Amino acid sequence: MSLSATHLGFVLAAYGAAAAVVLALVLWTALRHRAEARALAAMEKRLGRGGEAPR
Amino acid sequence: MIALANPARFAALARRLSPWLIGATAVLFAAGLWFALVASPADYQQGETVRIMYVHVPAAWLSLMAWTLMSLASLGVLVWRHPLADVAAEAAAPLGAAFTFLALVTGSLWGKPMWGAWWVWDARLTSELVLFLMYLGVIALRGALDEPARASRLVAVLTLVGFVNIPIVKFSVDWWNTLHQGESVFRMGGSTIDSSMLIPLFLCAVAFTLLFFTLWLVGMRTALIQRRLRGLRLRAAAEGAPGVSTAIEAT
Repeated sequence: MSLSATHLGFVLAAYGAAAAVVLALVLWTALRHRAEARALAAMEKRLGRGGEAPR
Repeated sequence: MIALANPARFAALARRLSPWLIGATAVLFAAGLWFALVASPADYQQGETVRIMYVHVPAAWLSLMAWTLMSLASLGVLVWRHPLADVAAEAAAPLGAAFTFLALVTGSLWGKPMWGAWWVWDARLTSELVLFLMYLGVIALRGALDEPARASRLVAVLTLVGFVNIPIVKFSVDWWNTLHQGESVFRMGGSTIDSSMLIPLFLCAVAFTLLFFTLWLVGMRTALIQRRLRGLRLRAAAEGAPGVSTAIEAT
């Protein structure tokens, strides 16, 4: 890719937007999963229930 | 397939598949980006701007695929009452919304230098915007209803009704005169795109699709955990366990 091309800013902005959306999705998915898994583990511990919880 | 109807078995399989999917997604993204930004040529008319295609087109394809998957899952909810169908629909909605948003943003960034406008009320763009609003609608509807079974049925009905927009988005460029270019990949008579651009496009499309399935599986596991958690909280509240009723009120 030529760095002196016209409209280069539009290309970089599009890839930047894609990177931001992908990163946000990955982080949101991973953090939400971890938070819910922890909440489930804490609840099972509180209730004294055993068994394999879905992770 | 029947074995996967068991949520615990599904969660275990999804957990085993996740590392492989993550690895394959990372490798394909690296290869796709190298081809998209370095190896593929500039277009003779559009110049370097054509490289926006490698993120815009996969995002647009995924926006349609996610709603189609949600519609199939909705059939599973309403017709077969499959235990994982609602979980699948719930997990796909935010991903579909995100990829539709990305398709709209990158399309706008491609449209400005090529058409001279960020946005036109063209049939393809407008139907894609309607699709984005529909994603927000099903997410909001699910969040607005307290009773999960009722929310599941209503969201399934809305999703199936909304499926009518999918062929409109897909064929809008054939049915109406649009500023958006016509179909150039999946068309009668073969693709009009040269293989030096088609191969990177497919690489990027497969990478985005694998990312979608990776996040979808994790999202489904999260939704299963939320259902189990809700069940435990309700049971605990019924048994009068200390500190649980406040946890239910908080959710």
